[in-house]
Amino acid sequence: MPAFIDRDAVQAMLGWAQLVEVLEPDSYRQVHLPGALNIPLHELDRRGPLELRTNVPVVAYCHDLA
Amino acid sequence: MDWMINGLPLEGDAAGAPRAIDAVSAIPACQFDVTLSEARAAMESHTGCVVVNDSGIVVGLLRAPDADGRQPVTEAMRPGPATFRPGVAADELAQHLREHDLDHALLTTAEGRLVGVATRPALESLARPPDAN
Repeated sequence: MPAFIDRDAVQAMLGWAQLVEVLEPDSYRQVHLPGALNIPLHELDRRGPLELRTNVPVVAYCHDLA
Repeated sequence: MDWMINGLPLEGDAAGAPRAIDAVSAIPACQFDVTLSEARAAMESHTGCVVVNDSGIVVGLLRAPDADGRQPVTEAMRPGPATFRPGVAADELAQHLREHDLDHALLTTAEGRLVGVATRPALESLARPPDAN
């Protein structure tokens, strides 16, 4: 069940949750959270089941640098 | 964004590059419902202040020369100033300020809450290579 979590919760999950940046590869290459995978949003349905484990929480994020 | 403002770790090609937040300095702020004279007092030696609402959201800018009288600040402020996110690369923001002949940039969160101000000299200093003159 998806839920919104804040910065402190994400920080506490570093190193064990599966972080997924859903922006395009160029943005991911510039900067991303430590250990995050890059699965662009439009590929999530296809690649998610192939690349993500089902027994570990997934944290999907993007960012606003504008 | 909240992650960057709090100096938390990042990875990637530009993870170590200077960002606008690295050049931030404080700027006086006043509530939107104070008078011009009250706002002037809050400015002290600064040339202006940011006007915020009761949620801390930026609503305008007020220049010191305009801050005189008993009218509410909303009558003299410049509403809806341009704002920038603290995570913007320092060199990109410095270039933007040069191109638009601006000397500072107001930094806010994505929700519009005031973070501070970054001056063009401070941004250019960050963007300059360490061994440049």
